[in-house]
Amino acid sequence: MEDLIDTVIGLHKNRFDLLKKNKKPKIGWLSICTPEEIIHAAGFLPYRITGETRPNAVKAGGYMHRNICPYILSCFEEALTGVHDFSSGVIIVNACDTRRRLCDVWKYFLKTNFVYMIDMPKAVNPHTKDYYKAQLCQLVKAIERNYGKKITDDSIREAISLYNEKRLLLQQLYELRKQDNPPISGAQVINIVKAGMVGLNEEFNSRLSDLLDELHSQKPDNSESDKPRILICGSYFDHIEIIDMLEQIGAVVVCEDISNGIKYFEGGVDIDKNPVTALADYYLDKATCARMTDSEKRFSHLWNLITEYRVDSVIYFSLKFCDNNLIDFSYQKKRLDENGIPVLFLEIERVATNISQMKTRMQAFMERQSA
Amino acid sequence: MANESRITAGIDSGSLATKGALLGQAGNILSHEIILTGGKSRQSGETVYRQLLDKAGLSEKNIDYVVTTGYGRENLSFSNKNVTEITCHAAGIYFLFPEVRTILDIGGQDCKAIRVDPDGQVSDFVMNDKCAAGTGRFLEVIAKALEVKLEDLGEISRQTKNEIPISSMCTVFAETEVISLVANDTPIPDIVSGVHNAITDRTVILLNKVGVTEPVAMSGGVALNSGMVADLEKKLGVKLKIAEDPQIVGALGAAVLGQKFLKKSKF
Repeated sequence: MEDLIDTVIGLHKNRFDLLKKNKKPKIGWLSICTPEEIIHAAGFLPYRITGETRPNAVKAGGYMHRNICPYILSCFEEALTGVHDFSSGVIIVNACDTRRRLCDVWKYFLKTNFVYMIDMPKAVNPHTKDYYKAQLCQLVKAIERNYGKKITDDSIREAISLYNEKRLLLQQLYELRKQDNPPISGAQVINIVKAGMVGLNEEFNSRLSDLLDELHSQKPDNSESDKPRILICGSYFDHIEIIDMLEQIGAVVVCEDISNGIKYFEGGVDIDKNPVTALADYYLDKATCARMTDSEKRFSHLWNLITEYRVDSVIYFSLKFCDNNLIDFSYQKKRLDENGIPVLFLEIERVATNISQMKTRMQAFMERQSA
Repeated sequence: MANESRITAGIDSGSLATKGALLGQAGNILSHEIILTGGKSRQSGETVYRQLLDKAGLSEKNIDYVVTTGYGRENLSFSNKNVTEITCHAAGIYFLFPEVRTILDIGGQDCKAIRVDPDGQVSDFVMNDKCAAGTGRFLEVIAKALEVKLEDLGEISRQTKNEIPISSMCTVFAETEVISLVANDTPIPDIVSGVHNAITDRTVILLNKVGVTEPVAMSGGVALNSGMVADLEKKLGVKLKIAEDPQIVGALGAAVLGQKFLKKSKF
């Protein structure tokens, strides 16, 4: 089974080689609110820019400044050092102020052909849905104009079908973690989700299917477990070492309410609606991250996961300077306190540098619960 | 054998100082010790353990359980269990002052605010270990810059006539600021009370993150500074409970937990 997992994760590990070898042109994206289906329908491979190859943003700090999101800095560092030169463009959603500044500096300083910003609303109602649909129609036109391509409704429908299939497969993977003793670790799952963001969707779906067949053929381990079941949420997170450490000190991470987790693939795009309308509705309805104004909706979504995955406690990670997550924390904490769910707040950099300080907090949090 | 008193040891392996305590089953502290870690946490841990035993006239085989805590808690081979300093400080304070509900621990290099429930269990905590500006380290740096003894800072601050604000957020830059204040003949007591004020302001922000419920205890080496204690009491509007040896509260708490673990395992 480890081989099957490695085969899936290999898509992420070797993504740049695989993408460069592929004849189709590529477009990079950052936020999971980006309608990848439109990019796919235009004949491009949409892939996520993560910044993970450049955690020390030496150059980027000079172009932007250093007291901002380390994830965005690392993404720009990758761009500045040519990591994304093979790509034909980048699409940035205005999920936060720092991403708007990223778009500014990318356009101004780099020669990337297509640097496009999608204006996504912060509230969800009929007006904002209309607006968002108009935004996505504009995106279609912009891609068509810039690359001399034609995007048809049918090609978008085809993409939606492919992406819905991926969503279903990832949902099935996550279902397995509802078990008393999940057959797959949190760290492995994050890497699998990341492998699904590389734009090689047919290949990913096929490899994940094979892995799921194997996992479904195993009998679930229903022996009693006294390990605390943890859910993690917050800012951009791919700090696998922290998940490993949590599992090492005796917890089991059962759910990640993050972009590299359940937020990426929950629900499905409605195939009966006009495709662009369906995409606008899906991406806007699904958005429950800290940048959206409805904190109570964010909590409801979190609470449903806590119930479904039988979560004992929550770890809330905020990247340094992540205003949206830092500020919304007090609301989420209050609601979690009211519902008797312990929550630990941890502030992180682009990589987990201060690991023993993290360990002290996490271990103290566990000690609190086992008392 | 039935009535033999069980003895436990607690070692708090901190980044600045290593502390230890031996505790008897009846709640009597048999010995305690504190030495500078000096960057050798394993060696210092072993030295403190030996010195605890020597002081109490005991040997290793008399010790029934060892709990280690602090930064170097996992590096001591004679440890039976390691527990974080948050849980240990709570246990130590509960042992000394069971009515306390909020603990403020300002150590050499970090600062913690801990909420405890009536059973002495930690109900919430927040730590600052990213910035020296709210810790004992800041006081050390300033004492050195002023050429006074660290232990005299409290007494010196009491002579202040006029508190001078220190504007730098960073310990290193505050040191520079202090040096130029000295060059301008600013009275030393005024500078010291300004520094105390800068630290207590930060401390109050940290405490407010967990909320203050009385009674409030203070532990850690900075509790020995009477000026800091007075300033905190004024800002919080409470009288702080302080142990006779605030630096060994963590080690004491570790030894107390050792007694608890022994009790559990005997049944």
